[in-house]
Amino acid sequence: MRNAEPPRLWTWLLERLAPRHRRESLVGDLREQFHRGRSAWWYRRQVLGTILVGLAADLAAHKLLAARALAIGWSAVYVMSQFVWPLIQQSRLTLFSRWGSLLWGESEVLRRLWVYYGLPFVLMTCLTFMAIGWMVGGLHRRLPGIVALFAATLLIPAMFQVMETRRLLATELWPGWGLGSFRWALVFHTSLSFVAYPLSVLIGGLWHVRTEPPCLISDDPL
Amino acid sequence: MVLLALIRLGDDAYGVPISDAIEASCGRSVSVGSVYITLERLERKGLVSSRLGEPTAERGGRAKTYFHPTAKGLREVRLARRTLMRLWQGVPQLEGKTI
Repeated sequence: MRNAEPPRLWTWLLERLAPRHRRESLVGDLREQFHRGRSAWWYRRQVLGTILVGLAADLAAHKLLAARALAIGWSAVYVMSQFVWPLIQQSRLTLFSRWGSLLWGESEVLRRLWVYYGLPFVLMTCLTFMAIGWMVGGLHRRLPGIVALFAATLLIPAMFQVMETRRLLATELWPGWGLGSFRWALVFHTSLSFVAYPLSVLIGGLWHVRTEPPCLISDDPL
Repeated sequence: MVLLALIRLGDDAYGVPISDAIEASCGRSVSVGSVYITLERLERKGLVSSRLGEPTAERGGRAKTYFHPTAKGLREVRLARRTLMRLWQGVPQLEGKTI
């Protein structure tokens, strides 16, 4: 029997996103198989399969709830895109043009983070996505898979956003990149749209999920 | 297939041996999650019953869920077998009578 622990991140995901009704047995079964010699790769595949199959079953059983979760999530994204993000973007440009040098002083690193990478905007966007995920997850505590579905739907507009990279480079929103840095801008934009933002929704949404602690057992027969 | 695996395993039928049994007979990897989803569906239809076992150290303190076919489940398996047998009969392609 193997003594190593199964991959922690995947166990963490399984404990939160596996079908609620049989979660404890599922986690135990996969752990048992891992200790009997199954590979970490097998474990990861099983966790992913279990989450996806459970999500599909949940959605099939609660279509209306899923539709409601998507409607709430996307309404929140719309509100943010119309009112909050332009405000952040505007303040970034104002700060950049007027008080930029006051903000980062002599630091070239801070200047680059602000001008090239729009770091405060990225952080604020991640935080607002986290808040939206938190709201959707809080309203659907019994179906945490719905948060994953909402996060997955963000990938659809992400594709269009990434296709807009070349156009964005020409705007004042990305002043420091220039058209010559298209490849790096594409990598940067893709990692934000496909990884950072959906992940923020997932983290915010899973905040609500409580896992039941395993039963306390003792190896001592007495 | 899941119901047949349950009947074969008898009293020791929980997630791990059930998926092992299906894997051994199919020859390909089975997702434990999909086995559980199927079992839950069978339980809702009254074909399978379940009980929670004792937690063990090997499983990190997680209890096993044991599954048993109900009388209705056994009846359904017999019925499915009879139906399949009838369907198999008289198919020349499967009896080696084709040219």
